[in-house]
Amino acid sequence: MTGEMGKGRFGGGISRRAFMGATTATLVGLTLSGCSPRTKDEDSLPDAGQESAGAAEEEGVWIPAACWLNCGGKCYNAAYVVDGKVVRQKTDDTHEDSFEMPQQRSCPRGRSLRHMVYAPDRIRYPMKRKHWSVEEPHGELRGKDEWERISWDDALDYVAAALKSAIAKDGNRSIVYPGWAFQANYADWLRAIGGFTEINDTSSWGAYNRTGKVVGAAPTDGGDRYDLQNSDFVILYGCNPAWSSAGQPNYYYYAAKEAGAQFVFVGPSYNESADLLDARWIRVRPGTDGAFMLAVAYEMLKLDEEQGNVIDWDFLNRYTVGFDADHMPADAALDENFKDYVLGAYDDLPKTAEWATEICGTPVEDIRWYAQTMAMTNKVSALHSMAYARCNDADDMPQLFMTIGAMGGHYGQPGQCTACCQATRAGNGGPSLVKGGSTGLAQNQNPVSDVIDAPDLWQAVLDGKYQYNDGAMSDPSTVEVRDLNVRVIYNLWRNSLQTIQGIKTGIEAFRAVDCVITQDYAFNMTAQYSDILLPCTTKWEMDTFYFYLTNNTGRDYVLFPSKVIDPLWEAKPDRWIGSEMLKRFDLDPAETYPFGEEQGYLNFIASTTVVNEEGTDYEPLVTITQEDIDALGLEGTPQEGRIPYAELMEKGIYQVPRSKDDNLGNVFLAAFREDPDNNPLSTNSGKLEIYCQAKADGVNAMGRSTIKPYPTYRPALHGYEESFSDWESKTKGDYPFQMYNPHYLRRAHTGFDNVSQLREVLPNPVFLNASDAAEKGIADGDAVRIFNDYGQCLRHASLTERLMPGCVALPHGTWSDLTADETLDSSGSDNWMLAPDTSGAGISGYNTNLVNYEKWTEGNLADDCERVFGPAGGIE
Amino acid sequence: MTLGFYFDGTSCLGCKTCSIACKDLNDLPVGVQFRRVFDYEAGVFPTARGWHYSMACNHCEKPACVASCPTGAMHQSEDGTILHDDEACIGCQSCVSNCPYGVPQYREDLSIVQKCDACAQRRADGKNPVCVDACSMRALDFGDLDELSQKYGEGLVSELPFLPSASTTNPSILVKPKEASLAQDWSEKRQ
Repeated sequence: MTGEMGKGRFGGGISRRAFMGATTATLVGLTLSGCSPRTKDEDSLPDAGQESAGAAEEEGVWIPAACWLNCGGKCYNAAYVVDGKVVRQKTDDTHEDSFEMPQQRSCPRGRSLRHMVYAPDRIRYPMKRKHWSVEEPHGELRGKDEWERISWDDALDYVAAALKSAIAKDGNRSIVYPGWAFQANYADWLRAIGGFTEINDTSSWGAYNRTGKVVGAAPTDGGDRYDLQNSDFVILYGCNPAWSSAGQPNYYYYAAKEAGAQFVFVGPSYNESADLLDARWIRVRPGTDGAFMLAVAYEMLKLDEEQGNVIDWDFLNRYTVGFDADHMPADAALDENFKDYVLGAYDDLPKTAEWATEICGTPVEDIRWYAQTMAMTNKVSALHSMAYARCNDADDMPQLFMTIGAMGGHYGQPGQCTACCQATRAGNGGPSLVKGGSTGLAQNQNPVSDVIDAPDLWQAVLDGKYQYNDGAMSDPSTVEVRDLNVRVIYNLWRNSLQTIQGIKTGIEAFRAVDCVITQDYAFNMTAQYSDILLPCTTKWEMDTFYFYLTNNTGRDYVLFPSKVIDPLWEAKPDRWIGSEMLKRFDLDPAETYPFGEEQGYLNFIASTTVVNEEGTDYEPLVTITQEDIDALGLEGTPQEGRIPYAELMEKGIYQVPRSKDDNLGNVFLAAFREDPDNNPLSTNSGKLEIYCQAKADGVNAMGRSTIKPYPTYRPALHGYEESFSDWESKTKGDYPFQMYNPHYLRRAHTGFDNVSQLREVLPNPVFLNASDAAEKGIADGDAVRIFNDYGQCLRHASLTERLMPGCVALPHGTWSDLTADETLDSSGSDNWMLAPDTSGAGISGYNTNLVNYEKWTEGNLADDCERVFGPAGGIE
Repeated sequence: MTLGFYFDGTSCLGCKTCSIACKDLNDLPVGVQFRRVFDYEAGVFPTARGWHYSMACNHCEKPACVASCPTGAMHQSEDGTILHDDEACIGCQSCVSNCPYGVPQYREDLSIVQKCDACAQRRADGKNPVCVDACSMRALDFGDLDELSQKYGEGLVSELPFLPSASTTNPSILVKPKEASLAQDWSEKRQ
């Protein structure tokens, strides 16, 4: 598809619908992202839909609007409201744009928020699955049954009856809340009625969630955007900010490139971020980073011997423990160290570049180049994402990445760090310059101690038992197998069935319990397989504080959105639902919620602080008068700050301007580098633990794997080695391709995936290596079936030369579109393909999966944008 | 003075925000885009490279759409931009067939053609086109081409191997090309 096709692509022609009529049978593959034209009404709620864009400005009002999803960015959005309806959006225009004071420009998802808020499939009313009752749940009909619209009173009564029944039979621990229990105050009422079983999902963080902090590698942002420009080299290890950190991070990285930093990208594909930054590509197969980095360590040792000034021995000796036999931590129980392991002292296997290349696929010269680049004489910002730790058996990865950085002494100096590049502070790390305050409402305690690792969750429901290991990293003796009879699954602010690995097992688990409740605004997969639906408001329909909305911004600013519209249809705020439930348990809502969400938001605003000019302390941000407080009808004390309350809320953002030589820069771990004795890390030794007894003891107590206190290489469960039936002869097995799941710009995890205009511009193909696909007779745009023992799915193929042979990249988070017999997902959901297996520390191993694929010829696979989302539950 | 868009192909990351911001402002349904982003790749593993191309109306000096319009609905305005009079459009789609860039979009729901007017109303209000102010990479600009040329330096082009020949319509665009986008062995990608 070169010149000729290009002409066809740009060239005019007959209208799309005529074209479709003529050639429906061969539609797929002829155009890349063509979508049949629709009318506006097909993609918006009737009665809640949009006015014409021609509405004159003075008719409406712009309101700073929340973007509350967990996308990895956090940007400014505003909504134009005419007659109580949002008809248009915009991004930050609150000030002139400059590098010193950049506008917080939003992404295609943020600018599509109104299409999600007014989605045609939004849950409009409380609903009940027709054949469900507490006494006879008919669980087998979940996902297939009809829906009935019910009143709020009936819905809340049903939920209360189901919860009371479960508690009476098996206690509060028989209620599972498979969401983010730590978030804000959503689950407070569930804790107040006696609590629930929680889950612990390493999700995006991978091994960093378990083995990061204990070794001294808790994911922390690197230097700020000016410090990044001091680097000779910026390493992006598995990072793809172009898709994972929308907003300004890519702008900051690009500025560092323009300032002369050479970028290096490590990962299985030369992704959009690598391309943007003209990075040198160091290719490494998914899940084999251990082999790559051990070889880098070996080659650094060798280079240091040959030329000197490669390894920063002073740094290793002063700031780390366990690199060699002379610097072991006091609590070491094993007389082994990292250096001797790398040199092959324990297994007669020196971890050379030649050893590693067979496993990781990285050319020997690239491993040596990387080792030379990490030399102490270079200024290196070594930044990692979580992608390479989001693998089975990645338990040692945080420690190993840290070790390589420490060997070059790349810590705590200008232009030098070994740190994290993720989410909103990618490319601009450091302590907040505007610090979001507190609502004043502490989260209550969960009386139930049960916590299930997410990969184990659905099987635990089916088996009636699970391994409790949530406290293992701090107290290995607490690991135990516990019986657990799950009766209720309560889904709240998480599309749990879609976002936890092993959907097929999840459906079985859903069907095995007495009751599944979903409190959401989106009729997502979790809702579709539930019994009771409680429609909650979006964050546009209330004045409130929310974790991902206000406290997760870039370091320069905090956002202060306002309520945009009244609740749509019969949606209610989560807090109202919680209060109504508490009443049904004869509890006083005022005990759990002593004040309303509006009061909490004012408390948050009032206690927000901003850094002073010297960069030494913080002062109150907002001036609030008694008149402000009275006008709101809330309680508070007048205070002096930098900006009047009314002005702040009209703008919806406060941002601190920067300049190159101001006092607000950040060099990661500068204080530790300056004075490690008085600024110890939170590890047992206070230093970077290249040998970490607590890491090994904690993970080993979980019993899934046996690991060493220092980082070693172990083939990953469902990793590269497992793709062979015979490793020695390199004979491939039934599932010869390694599949990983990049975050995709169309969605924030699963959020936004029902927005048609995002489906139109971001078609979500599966990415295949062009040579691999050609061998299978697959052309660009063909439909392919991807399969393994656990699942099978369909996607259009995007053939690329920028992906390592043997690899398949299936974007994360689609909304499943299952066949009636539930055997095939034409949406290509990652969790449909990922068996609920785990190893080591119980990591959700998104980037270690094995599959095969073939051209699919059994029917037409429509483009994603052709999927029509009808009314939730079929109820208008 | 010739008005047109500037596009920095070296810093575009293909996020499609410009397309969506445009769709939002103009309230366009699925299937209609006044600004589109195309994704490309050239070369072979492991040295292949990708790039993106964001394109709205090129507001050409020799506009094929205007030449082919039987009613004068598609016309050149006083400032040189190509505008469309919805009232005068009969929906014949001659412009759709003749524009080498595929810019005019047929609205099934309205039975007329529409296209990018470089946000004429916003410009009248002293603002940039919405796509320009939407770009998180600051890769778009709009204005007098001579001034843009001065502002963004040398090496700007209005034709690339994957685009139709500029000589056909003299598009009023300035592109800072990414090196990879000069390759002849390009292919368009779903991304």
